[in-house]
Amino acid sequence: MTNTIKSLRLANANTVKESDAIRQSSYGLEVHNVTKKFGSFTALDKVSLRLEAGELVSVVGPSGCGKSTLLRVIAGLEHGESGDVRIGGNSVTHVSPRERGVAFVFQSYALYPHMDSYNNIAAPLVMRELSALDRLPFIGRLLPASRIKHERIHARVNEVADLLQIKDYLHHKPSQMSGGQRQRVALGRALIREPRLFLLDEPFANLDASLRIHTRAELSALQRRLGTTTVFVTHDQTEAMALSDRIALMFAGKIRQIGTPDDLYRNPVDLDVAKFLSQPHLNMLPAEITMSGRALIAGEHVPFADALKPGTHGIVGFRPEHCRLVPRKQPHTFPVLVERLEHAGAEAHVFVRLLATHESCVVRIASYQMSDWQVGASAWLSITASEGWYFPRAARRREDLLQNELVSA
Amino acid sequence: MANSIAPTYRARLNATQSTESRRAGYFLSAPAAVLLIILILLPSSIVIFLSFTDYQLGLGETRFVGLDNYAATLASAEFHKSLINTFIYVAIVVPLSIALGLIFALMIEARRTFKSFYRTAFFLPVTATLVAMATAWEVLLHPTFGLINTVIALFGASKIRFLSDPDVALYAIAAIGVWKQIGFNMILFLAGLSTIPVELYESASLDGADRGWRRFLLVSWPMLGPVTLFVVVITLIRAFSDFEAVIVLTDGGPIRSTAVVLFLLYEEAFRYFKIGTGSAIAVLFLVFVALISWVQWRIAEKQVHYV
Repeated sequence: MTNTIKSLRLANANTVKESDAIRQSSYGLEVHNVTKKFGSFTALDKVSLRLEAGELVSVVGPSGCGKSTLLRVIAGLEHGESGDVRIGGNSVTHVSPRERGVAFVFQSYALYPHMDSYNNIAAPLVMRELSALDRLPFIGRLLPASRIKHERIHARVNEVADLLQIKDYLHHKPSQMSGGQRQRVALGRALIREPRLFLLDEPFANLDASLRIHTRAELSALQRRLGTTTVFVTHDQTEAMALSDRIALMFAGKIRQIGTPDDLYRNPVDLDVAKFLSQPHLNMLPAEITMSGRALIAGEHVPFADALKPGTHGIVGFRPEHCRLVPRKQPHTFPVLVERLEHAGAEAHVFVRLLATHESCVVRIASYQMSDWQVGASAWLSITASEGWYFPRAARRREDLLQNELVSA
Repeated sequence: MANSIAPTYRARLNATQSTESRRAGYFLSAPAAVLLIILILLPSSIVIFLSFTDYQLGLGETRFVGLDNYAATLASAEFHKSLINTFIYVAIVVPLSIALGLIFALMIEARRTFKSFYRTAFFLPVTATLVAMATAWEVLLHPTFGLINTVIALFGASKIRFLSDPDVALYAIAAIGVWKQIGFNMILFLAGLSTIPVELYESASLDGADRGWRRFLLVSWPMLGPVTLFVVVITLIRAFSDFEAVIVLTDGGPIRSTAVVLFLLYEEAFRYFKIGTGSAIAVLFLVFVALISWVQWRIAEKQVHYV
């Protein structure tokens, strides 16, 4: 921990100098209208995405949404039927993975099991920079030219090992290391050749919770320090929120929304996006918008700040923190029955059911307030008028958000 | 692996097992144990016992002769000759059938179409009876009208008496041995190749080893380590005990040039009915093959198991 802090402090001290140097060698990424099919299944449907040099963008979505395929198309491990991938402004669609200069960290780490950490990390340089002659045992080291190459690789491996603090297990094989250690070695192998892009496919999925948060912080610091453009695939929205400059949210082969974590959280384009980013889940109640522009929910007229198109039907969505329970009836509240209480550390969740429509909702309260509510008790649910969204049926809530992104891409 | 698991497993057995479940364990393993004793341990013990006697099939009196059979066998020029023949045979069959089996496996694995056709075609020799196939080989290798000699003649070279020239016969027999073993090794290598995670190849392609020799050395070959060890041991044992082709095609000749150890054993025991001598050869052979396999395993195991 102290080491991490030290390295962060070092990073800060050098920020100005380093960032100047690095920004120049940093590459942007453009994915333009890429379509990828597996048989009749469309994994990617005209996906476009644009990353500024040095940016870290997470691609998030439920499993099977195409996020890993997108990453693999960028790496060149899969080829789209149509569309273009550009790195640093140059199309790489017809360039082999090897020539694209990208580094990929697999969920399983894909370390070479017969090599120790040192050789795993050195592998990309050994494969790229050494000729068959250089790589011969003994002979390779005798030739002056190849000895220089070997020494350079050795220095580079040590540099990366210092950066990732993995010097202690440089001579361990993958089977002798913990998940976290393997994960670092995999990062080291990605770092060593100073790639144009980092592509990370759920790199923390196999780590336990506390290590995941720790490693996440380190990765974030490292990425900022190196300034390498990074695409990060995860199904964990919390992870994406914590790490990213921007998040691209995918459903069924399409990107639904791209934006900063705050954008996505506060201004979802549609119900799917809002649902995906809610914990434990989004509250949804059918609503009718009267000709006078008020929301009619469960027989109750409720004031609402979001845009309401008169005469439409749709769904009102609000997060557990966008509502509260009150013990007595007030204007614009719904009578509910408390069904279940869940403790979640600092906060707690109260699951309630509307008496009028039997729909269930979840309310977030501070955990010290748990004793105020008992299962089976009656209460009134109040939706915070300034929060929550109205999603008209069969239409996006805000057409403009996604469009803006795609036009600029 | 086994060492680290066994103690805890045994501890758990001791802690939880009652006499009753232990009895059930013995009961359930009894059929296999009985078969093992009847089919393997008992015959082997009999062979070892017979090797110390002068038992001859059909003769009434049998005397205990101690180590005489071993002494006679080890001293006989016939046995030395057959040992040398066996070594030459093994030295050809083992490396060639393994190398070719691996090459065929890699070529089939790299194909997109007709995979199962090639797999079946190369595996056929394994399933076919060698005695029947040996007849086909006899025709192919025939000194005057055989296909191979016809082809050789086309290039203007003089014909070769494959099975009747003492300088050539052993190599012809070895070639048939290679042909027979390739398919088996290939299937094992194919199975090994199919277990290599695709991600390792992908990782290699990003690391700059995207095809050919580099990719083979970085991923395929090391990952095939355990399979290769198994293939080497099994091929060694099989090559040491091959002798059907010898019996069918050359009968040990010409001038004993194809008499391998197991052929000698067969002759002693089933032609001359000297069961005692035959048993002694069998025991020597068993010890010898077991020793080689064990050494091989000990040396290689440390290098091929990474997990």
